[in-house]
Amino acid sequence: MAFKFITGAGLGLLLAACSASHTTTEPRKEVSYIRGPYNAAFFRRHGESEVLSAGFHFHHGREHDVLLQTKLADREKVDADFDAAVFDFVKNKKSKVGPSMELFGPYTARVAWKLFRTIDWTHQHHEQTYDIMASQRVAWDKKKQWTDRAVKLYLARNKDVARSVAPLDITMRRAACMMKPYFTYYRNFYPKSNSQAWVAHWWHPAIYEAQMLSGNASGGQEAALKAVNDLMFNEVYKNRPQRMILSRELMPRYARMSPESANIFDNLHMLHGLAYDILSYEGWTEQQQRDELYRVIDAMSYQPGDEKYVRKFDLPYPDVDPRQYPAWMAGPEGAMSKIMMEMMMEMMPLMMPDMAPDMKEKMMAQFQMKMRPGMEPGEIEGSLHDAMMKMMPGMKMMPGALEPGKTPDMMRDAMLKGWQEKHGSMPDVPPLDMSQEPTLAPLAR
Amino acid sequence: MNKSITLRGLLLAALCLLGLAPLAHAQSDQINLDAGLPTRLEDAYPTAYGNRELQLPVRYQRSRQGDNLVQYTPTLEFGPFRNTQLAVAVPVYSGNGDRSGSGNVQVSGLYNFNTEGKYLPAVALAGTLTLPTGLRSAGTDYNGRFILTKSFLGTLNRLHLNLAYFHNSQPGVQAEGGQLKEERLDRFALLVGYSTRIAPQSSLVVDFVREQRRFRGEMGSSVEAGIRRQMNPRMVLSAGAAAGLGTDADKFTATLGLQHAF
Repeated sequence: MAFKFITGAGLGLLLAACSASHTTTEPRKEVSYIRGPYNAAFFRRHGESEVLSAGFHFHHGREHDVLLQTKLADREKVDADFDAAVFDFVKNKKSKVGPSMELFGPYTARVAWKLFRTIDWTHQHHEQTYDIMASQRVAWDKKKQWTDRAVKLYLARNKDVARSVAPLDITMRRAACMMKPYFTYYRNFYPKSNSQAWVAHWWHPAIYEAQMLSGNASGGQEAALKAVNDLMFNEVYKNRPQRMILSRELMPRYARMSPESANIFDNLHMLHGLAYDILSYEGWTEQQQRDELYRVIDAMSYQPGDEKYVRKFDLPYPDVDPRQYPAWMAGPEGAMSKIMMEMMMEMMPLMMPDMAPDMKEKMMAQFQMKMRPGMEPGEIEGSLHDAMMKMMPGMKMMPGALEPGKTPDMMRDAMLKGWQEKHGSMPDVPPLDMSQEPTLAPLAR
Repeated sequence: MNKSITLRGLLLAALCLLGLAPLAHAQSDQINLDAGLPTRLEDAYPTAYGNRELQLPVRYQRSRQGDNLVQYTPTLEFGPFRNTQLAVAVPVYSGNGDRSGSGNVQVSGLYNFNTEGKYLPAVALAGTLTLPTGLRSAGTDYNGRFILTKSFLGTLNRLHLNLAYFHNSQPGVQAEGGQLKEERLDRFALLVGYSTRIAPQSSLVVDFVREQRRFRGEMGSSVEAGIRRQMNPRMVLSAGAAAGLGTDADKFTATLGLQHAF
């Protein structure tokens, strides 16, 4: 009798919870890692680096909840505290194992589960590709073959969340979020936390490229990765990158070997930034934030035909050494700002067809400040959209530009057309000869 | 004599787990609860699609009468479809307690309907078919379990509810202390529990079990608690203990568990 009562009460509670919910249910749909002879090679061989990666993934997971549960008015303290917490986690090696997003972002997992499916699945892809490079069971001349297999299975096994293999130049234009009311919120309002992400997004490609420089032999990879890790604490954390560094800049050799994986990498990193922008924006409800997140996820996902753009990017520093941190890596100008600038120029004729030259100059000055982290003297507070509207209240907004979950189609089409005109006929980035294995001296005893 | 056998069994099991640890490199998850690892509480989430996992819970159980039983339950768990988990287990018992059922083959499944939302809990249905391949077993038994998992306070504090039903297709009679004890045909158990992350690689699980015991007229309650630790990307170790309340429940149980994806 008591059990029947408890059963009835339990079901009643469930139904009540269902009817009270204003979020729809989502399937869990977790997918396990791809099996291969290389599995967990990075963990076993480069445990110290895995620990740092775990710290960065703590940042990525936790930041979702921090932003979603923080009032913008409290941002300064929250930003400083979170920055300190992440540095402590990384520096003091708080976890040996890379966490899933839900482990440190449980609230966001309930609001936008598909975002975490997307991030976790792509993190698994990165784990796979690090493992392939670290594994001595995969011969140097087979690295590409195994990486290609990992890419193929990454795209096939979790189709609705796999990131595109097209360069960020294409996917950012598809997402068309520059004039959304949240764009640049994260970098402008949470500059310290944002720069933690950009340190992480420097470190990841630096590690790939260090593996590319050192070959399979024992000692070489260990030495190269240690040099990168030392560099991070000695120089990079003290003078953090002022932009998101792209794979073409810091891992050109790896990007030549597997442009698909390199582009997936950039597309995920940009998704992190856009998700943080959306979650820190207070003008929308959680439901609206989720609608916009899912729109961006879909826009930047793999779409049939993306393969033809895979090698459409340039290599500004083809011989870069990831164990060095020259001025160009730390500054705000680079491949990312070039993409943003191009997109801005492609949109402006639609929004401001009759803009006077002096206004254009002021607009571009604001644009460049908005692209940099933090707030600068003379910078208008808020998103890029807020700044533009304040300067030109009569600016024409495209349909879909402001609404959550809607794509400004005209803007997107104009930008994709602009890319086609500028870069459509650019030569493919050349493949890399993997028949010759590089070697690097091991660490001195 | 029996105590020393049991202790030796537990020691061997612990050494087995420690010995396997450096070899493990597969995928598990410290916050994904499976029954027996280390408490009987299960959450509403299945193993990931495409995953394969070896599990080895070793459970020491001391009854009110002073009997000792060690249960080794090697299990192969896998995710053949999305949101679906299947498992095959063959529990083997040692000690001077009632070893009925040792060597039975158990085939289990779990289907998860949804991930939890802001208000809606994750819901799953699970079931097990027990084939009478073991000691003093007759008839195919089955059980079903209704599972809810819900987090609260915007954190990873999770509440779980398991409502389990067991069917014994051929209930028997057992003589004990000059009395005949009759097995139940059907029985229920209710588990209410809580789990949370207590460190980056460790989680805590505590629960309360109220159950109709195997023999008619016996009801049991116990409090269980355990720790699950993610040892590497592919392996979770767990340890737990339970104390029985009242006169019918087992006096004490202790569990060590290994999950190792491959």
